[in-house]
Amino acid sequence: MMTRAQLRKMLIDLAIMVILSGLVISLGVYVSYGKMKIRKQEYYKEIFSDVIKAESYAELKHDLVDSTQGVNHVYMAYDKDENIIGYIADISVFDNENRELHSYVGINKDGSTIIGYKRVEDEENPIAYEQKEIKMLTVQTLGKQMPIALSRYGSTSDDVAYSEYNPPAGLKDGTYFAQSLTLDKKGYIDYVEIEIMDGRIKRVVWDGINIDPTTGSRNKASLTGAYVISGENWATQSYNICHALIELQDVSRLAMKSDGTTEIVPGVTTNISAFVDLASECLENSKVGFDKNNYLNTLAGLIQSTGTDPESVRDSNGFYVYPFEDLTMFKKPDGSIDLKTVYETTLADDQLEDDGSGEITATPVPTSGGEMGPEDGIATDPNSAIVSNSVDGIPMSEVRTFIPGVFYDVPGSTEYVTTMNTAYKFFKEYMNWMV
Amino acid sequence: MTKGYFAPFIHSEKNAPFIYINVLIALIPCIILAVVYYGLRALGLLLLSQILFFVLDFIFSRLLRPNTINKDYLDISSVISGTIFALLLPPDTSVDVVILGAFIGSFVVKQLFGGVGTNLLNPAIAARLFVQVVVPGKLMGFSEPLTDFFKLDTLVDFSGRSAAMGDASSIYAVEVLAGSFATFIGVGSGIAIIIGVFYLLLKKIVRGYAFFGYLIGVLLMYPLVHLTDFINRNGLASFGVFILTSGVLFIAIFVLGDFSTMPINPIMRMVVAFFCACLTVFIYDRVDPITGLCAPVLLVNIATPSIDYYLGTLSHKEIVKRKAGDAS
Repeated sequence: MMTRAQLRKMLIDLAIMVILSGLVISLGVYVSYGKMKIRKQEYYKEIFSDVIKAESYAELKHDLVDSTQGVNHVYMAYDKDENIIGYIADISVFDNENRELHSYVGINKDGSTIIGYKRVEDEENPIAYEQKEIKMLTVQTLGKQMPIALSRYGSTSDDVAYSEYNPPAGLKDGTYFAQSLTLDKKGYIDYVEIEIMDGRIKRVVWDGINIDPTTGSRNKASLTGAYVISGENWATQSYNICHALIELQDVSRLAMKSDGTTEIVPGVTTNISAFVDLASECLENSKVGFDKNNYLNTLAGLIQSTGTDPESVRDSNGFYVYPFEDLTMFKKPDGSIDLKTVYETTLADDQLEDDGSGEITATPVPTSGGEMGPEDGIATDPNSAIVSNSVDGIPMSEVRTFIPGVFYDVPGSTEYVTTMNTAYKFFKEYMNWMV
Repeated sequence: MTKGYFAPFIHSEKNAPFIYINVLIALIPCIILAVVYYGLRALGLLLLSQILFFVLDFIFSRLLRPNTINKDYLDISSVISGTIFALLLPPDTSVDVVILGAFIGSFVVKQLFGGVGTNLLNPAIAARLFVQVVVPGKLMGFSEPLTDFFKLDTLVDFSGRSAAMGDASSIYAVEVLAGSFATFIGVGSGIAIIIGVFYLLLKKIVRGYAFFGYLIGVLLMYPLVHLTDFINRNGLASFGVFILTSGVLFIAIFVLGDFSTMPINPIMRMVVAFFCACLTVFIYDRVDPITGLCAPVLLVNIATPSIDYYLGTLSHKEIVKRKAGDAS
């Protein structure tokens, strides 16, 4: 047993040790903390300067970093005024054989664009990329918006089992385009672009351009939260309906109801009448070979007929952002414009001469949606199940950039793509884009 | 039958609890360092480990030896084992590793071998090496010190965190002294350990044979193993870094100072500590740091009974004589 004197002595020893340790450790921390910060910055500069050149870096502490699969760490890059100039995501992606691709991905301060890439090359079981392959992929993605996909996903739709459905007869290969000649309530001009290959629908795009040039496309606006509709965001719904058309190969199989909605395409609750009208117009145009260039030239002529220079209302993507409000002579009682009439009365002869084919016997006529299923909202084939297409769990409609990848090793490119899309998923959540 | 012994009886204030409490006091700098650098999660690991080692020892000693256990004796050595075990963990370790380690250290290594004072291996070191071998993936969370004091989620992240151990050779001298780099929670700072060393030596809790034997071993072996560094004139710096940050000081004073797992003969204690150090220096860069530190200690522990028996305190003759006396 310990005596009281021993206990007292021991408590004094304990107090002395605590005080002494506290003093020494405090001094150590005080002296070493500054050095630690300097050393850390030196280390960060050494490993990150190839990704984003910055004055200083700091690790981002956020629960999302821990909860996002594949994301090891995220760092912020600052300029000399302590303003964030970008982010660096430390990401590990594994293939089916558990081989790893460990990367640093530089993202701009908006969290949307890839501005740097570096493979860390510390993997225990690395994916066998060659330097030139990494360089090839990096060149394809630098300065591009996330998410990305290999172009084999975007140019065709091989993943969609559309062989069961026959397309309308007489579709000619090419890219066909139709845009609404009136604005919707929020100032958007709907357009649909369809690519026909081997007589089948291979690619469909439905989006809207805003009459206000400072406002982005409807697709982009829906992703940034500027354009909100009930149900899934508009971009996702647009994607779903486009792929439904690729699978079903015919607008009538979309089974649009009289209220403009459809019940057979999962995730689509918005009014699709504009899409149906414009897609039908594209398919009709395809039957007569009236392709996108001809269509846009027709629109340019229309605009010119109002005394406006078409180039002055053409946006960077080549679309004519024009309300056609002045074309009162072509407007029907319901306010719509019959492009057929416009085309025939003002431009058809010129177009036919310009085109030189002389074989066009029919003019493109926007359909009214009257070619729907036999009953309201009923598809021709009610068993049609729509296969959602996605890359790394991201709907294809969200994909901003398509890259060819490493051509001779397409499967190998997928881990690189997944790396970028992992960064996208993180920043999408982190930036709270969907709010 | 009562056994009689002749006087004089030696009374010393340095009984077992006194020694153990003083060792705990000597560990205070390392404990404070761990909590200051790694925050509440380090405190959680330390408390859990100490409590588990103590409680499991208490329970298993009474279950395994209900008739021979001295129920008035409070075994503080288990708290020291728990402290040493926790101080050798990476900061982002989850509690399941501590539970596993405490069970192995307390039940398998200590109580199955007869309890306090009779264990063959150092419970903390055996437990630490065991978890390193069995669940290495859960012992890779070396987060930077002074980053997130209130972080606690790592304690229940059973998937195992992964953050590389810091490279002490690439840090500033003051950082080496303060131990402010990513390493095990309580062994990074040579200064903190040295405070403990001075305390134990000044209080004469340990005599320093094993400590100095171990240091001499490191001193002699390191230049041989790292001859190229010394030729390139980096040898002294890397030697200093090794001594202060690798944990060899910690092992030398707090592990090899253990009475029950080291030879009783002081000279032999120094000799085995020397060989332990040589082996540690030789294998340290070839295996993970914990294996490098712990495996040689366990080898020495295993050899200790034989050393004591054949070369140490009790001669073979005397043992036979005593046995004969007891029998009569």
